[in-house]
Amino acid sequence: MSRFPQTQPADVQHQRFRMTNGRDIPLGKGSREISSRTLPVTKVAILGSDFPGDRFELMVNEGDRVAKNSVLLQSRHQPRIKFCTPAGGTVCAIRRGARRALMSVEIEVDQSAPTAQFAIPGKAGRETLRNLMLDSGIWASLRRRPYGCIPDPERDPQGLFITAIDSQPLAPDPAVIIARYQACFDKGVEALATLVSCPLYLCQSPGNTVTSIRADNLVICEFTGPHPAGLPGTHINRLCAVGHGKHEAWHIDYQSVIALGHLLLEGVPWGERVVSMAGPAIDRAELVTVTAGAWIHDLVNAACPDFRGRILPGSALNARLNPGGNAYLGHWQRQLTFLPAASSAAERSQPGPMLPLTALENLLPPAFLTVPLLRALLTGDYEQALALGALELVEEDMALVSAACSSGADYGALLRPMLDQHRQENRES
Amino acid sequence: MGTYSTSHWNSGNRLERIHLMRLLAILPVYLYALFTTGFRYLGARAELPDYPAQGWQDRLADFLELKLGSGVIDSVLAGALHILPLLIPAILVCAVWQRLFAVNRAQRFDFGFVYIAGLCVLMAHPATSLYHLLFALSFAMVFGYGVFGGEGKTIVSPALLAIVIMQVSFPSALVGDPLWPVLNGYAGTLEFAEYAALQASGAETGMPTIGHALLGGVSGLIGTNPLFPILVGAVVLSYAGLASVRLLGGVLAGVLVAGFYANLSAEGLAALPWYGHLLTGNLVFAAVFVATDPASSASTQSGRLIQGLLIGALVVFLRIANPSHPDSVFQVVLLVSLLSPLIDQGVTWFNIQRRKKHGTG
Repeated sequence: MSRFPQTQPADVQHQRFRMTNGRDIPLGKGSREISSRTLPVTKVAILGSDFPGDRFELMVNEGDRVAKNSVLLQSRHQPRIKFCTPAGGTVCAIRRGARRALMSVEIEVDQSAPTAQFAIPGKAGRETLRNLMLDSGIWASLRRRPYGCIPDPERDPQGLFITAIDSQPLAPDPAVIIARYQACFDKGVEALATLVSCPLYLCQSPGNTVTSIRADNLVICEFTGPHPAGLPGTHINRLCAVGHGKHEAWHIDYQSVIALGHLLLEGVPWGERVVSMAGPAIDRAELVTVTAGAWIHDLVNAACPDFRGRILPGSALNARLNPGGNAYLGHWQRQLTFLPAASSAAERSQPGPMLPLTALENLLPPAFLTVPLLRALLTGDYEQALALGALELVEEDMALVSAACSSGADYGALLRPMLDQHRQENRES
Repeated sequence: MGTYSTSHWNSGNRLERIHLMRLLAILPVYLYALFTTGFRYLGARAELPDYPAQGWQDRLADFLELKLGSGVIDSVLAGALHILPLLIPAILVCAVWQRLFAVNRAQRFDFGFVYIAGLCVLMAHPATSLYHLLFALSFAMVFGYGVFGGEGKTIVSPALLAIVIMQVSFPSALVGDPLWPVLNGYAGTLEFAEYAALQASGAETGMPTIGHALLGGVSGLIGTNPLFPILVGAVVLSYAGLASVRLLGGVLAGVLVAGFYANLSAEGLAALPWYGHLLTGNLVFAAVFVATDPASSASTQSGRLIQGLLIGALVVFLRIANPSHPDSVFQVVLLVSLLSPLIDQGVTWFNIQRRKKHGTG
């Protein structure tokens, strides 16, 4: 990174933030080059657990043949929100979990299946663009704070954040991936600038500005510092107050912006994702392009068939496994972490007392009182947790503090019912 | 998924490691206390050649012909004669209580009791009656530790509770003991009272120099002087994230402010320069090992600072207000730990008000 002025449009607002809160996890380095090899994928899936707080209506049945980009599910609360399959083929399984919540819709990939095309609007207005995003399933890649759920297309946010920075341990470098798909990313940013009238914050690491697009409401925000400097929760905490539950901020990650740009340029959303495969247990880290929602079994078989150890979908901090042995790449997961098999008892999470150590401080975004918030979560004190800013957070923000706490509690899992309850109460009123 | 963390990164803040780091922190204090206690004991015996050998420790010391000035080994052996007979039964009794609670409540047998017993013995006096100590430790293990659910759920540090219970229950024990003249029962050193009396009569006051306080066994309880091993322990504890640097800084600032304020009057103990309050007495030890106990101190960063300031200032003011009482450090730390939930409540209230004002809460 250079200390000299960067090549950037002069009329774009620029802000810099140096974060001191947080901690980087030393797990080695990931790859900075996108590998040219493609990994064959036999199955893909959409996971219900990626969209917390949503209930779904199934649009397909087991055994149906589906075209690529055709609708698999729609939201029960807002039927305009649709979920499309990233690959064509046959619906091979629909799994349900506790209380019949949808776990996954799995597709056996057939390369000869047709592809659903979308008409590219000439000059996309706000409503046309929203409809296109909803129909193509890209709307489901937007998330809103509070709650971390999919935003309502009838509403407008107070801020839209593009997360072009990732500070998770061993995460891929967004700048490398954006540079590969520069035209799509620029088109996506341009479209998002017209999607909303609020400021569009492009959050990135220091260095060259990742897009050359100019727009009146575009603000480039550079974040430096240890993890969680790259989480949308940190960015929203600094730039847009949502903790009182009246305002909302939306955010979208850089690969979904590329998918949106691809849709606007080619008529089909980008059906792939660039995923980092790295970790202390493998010799060579890789950035590979794989089908979105790919079966992890296929990826591991193709990349390192002899691997014996722990393979985590996601980062070492908040890997989420789809239960039932059917591990698919989640909608937001951009990495697979390879760790050695858990050997010592110390590595396994053991329940213990919650000690308010100073090591817990400064792991959440600034202005949070960590220990009072954690105690409110542990005791289920809903009102206190909300008063202490719980609405600004989701599971991924709590991962670092869960890892550092002597109690071994998963504070993200304790936070979610509170977010659901608040959402329920405010929907009815 | 489930309620337990999905993290696959070992942060090291597990209970076993916390216990080990704490024991590591008191280890240098113990090693140094073996020497200083023995040195003081042999010194007192040398000054009183007519003193009859009373207990088995005196007789054993005579049998081994331990003498002042014949090497470090003699002092260490004499120290071990006084410390180990307290430490080993203390650990055993704590283990019994811990085991009883673990069995009755189906909890795991957690070895945090070793630290409690170890800390308590360091705050006791070399000539403490074993029965007094075991009574106080049993009380603390049951009513200060076990009934609340054990580690991390206590409202005051159990070791501190044991010492305060012992001081309150046996106020006249050891008063005027010929071998340990500068002590008043289990409560600690009388040096502040001596200083006040000397200052009032205009005589030369004998406060220790900084070097003496850092390395020499000045006076007081088994482990609370000298300061050097205590500071090593402070570094270990704060490196492990167990002791809050803010709290320690708060104590220092509290002593500084209160000391300068007291110096305005310059009468009796008030004339003592501010750092004198750190060099003698139990303040530094209590601040490093007792006040910073994570479970029973304030749990917000500002709360920790306020707690430290309160401890530092209150210790100085209480010493000056009543110099005839030996040392009020333990009582002050106990009082302020009881106040710490209130301090946290205040800090939380301010945070919530600020969030409301900025629209984030």
